[in-house]
Amino acid sequence: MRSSQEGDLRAFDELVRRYQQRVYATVYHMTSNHEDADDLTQESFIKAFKALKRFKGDSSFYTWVYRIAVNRTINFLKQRNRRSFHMSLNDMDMQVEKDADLLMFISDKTPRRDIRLNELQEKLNEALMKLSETHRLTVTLHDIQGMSHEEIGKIMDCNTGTVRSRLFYARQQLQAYLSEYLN
Amino acid sequence: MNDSQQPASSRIEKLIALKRYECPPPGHAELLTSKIISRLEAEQMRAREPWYRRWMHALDLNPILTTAYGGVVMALMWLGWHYGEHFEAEAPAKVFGNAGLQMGSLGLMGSMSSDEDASSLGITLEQAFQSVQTSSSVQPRVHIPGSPVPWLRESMAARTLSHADFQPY
Repeated sequence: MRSSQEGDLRAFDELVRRYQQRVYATVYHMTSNHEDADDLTQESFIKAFKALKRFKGDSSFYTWVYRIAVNRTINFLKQRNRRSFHMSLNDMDMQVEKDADLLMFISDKTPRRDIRLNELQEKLNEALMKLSETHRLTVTLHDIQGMSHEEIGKIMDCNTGTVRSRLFYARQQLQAYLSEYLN
Repeated sequence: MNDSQQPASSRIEKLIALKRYECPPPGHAELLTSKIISRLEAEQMRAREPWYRRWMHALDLNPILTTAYGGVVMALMWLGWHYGEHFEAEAPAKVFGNAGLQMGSLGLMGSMSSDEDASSLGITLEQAFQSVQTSSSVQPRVHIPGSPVPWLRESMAARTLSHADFQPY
């Protein structure tokens, strides 16, 4: 960490390797676009490297870099909302087939199961994109990334009560959008 | 408890959690890391370059900036040309106006025969032309017959001589 602050790129390379997948995943779930997520992750780490000298260690590097990525993504989404966009979704990992919860939504007896899975993926992403940026971020960090309310509060700069209420409202909206899979 | 009997909030949580299986293409993590590091290396190298190269590079990358620079240069050139022409035509009148004199009064002064008449205006022509010479590098191209200013008189004499020497075919 100290070497990175002194401008050592090799040391920073280690930090990038450690955290980039999680940062990328969060940005990807926020944007539903692989290329945008790729660009935003790069820009976030570059900005983090430039601002590293100002990092005092009040929070962990992980929380700090997350905050940079999240702010950058929210700004990007505000600009993107003014123009049309298309979803470029990453493929589903084949491990999903083994997930017991999947049976709840797509029966293994369903013909053309792969098509149903792609359809589910698209519906899920469409529903998420209908949420506001803050609600989407809360759901992404909690339900997809598995972070605690406290961690989310630090990243979003709010208290845990706010995180809980945002999560509640976001789930309610998602239930309405995805009712066909839940009944 | 049966799946269908689970509360809706739990079912929605499980449904959203399926998004964890969305993965980038294989090798993406390595590629992304190398992209970030090579961009940082390029920026570090660029920071060591002299300012004019960095400026040229910024122009290369940003077409809007390039167009803006071009526009500013064109505007400055046009302004310079336009103002230069305008100044050439109007500068003497303006300068004399500033010195408290009118072109009409210059004509009047041309007909004055003595220094006393000129000084009755409260300012001598020498003072007026001194202010012209100090306030601007542009020399007034006005010749006044019988002027009390020595260099104007000489200039007038030379001009008269050249007219007298002129013989048409």
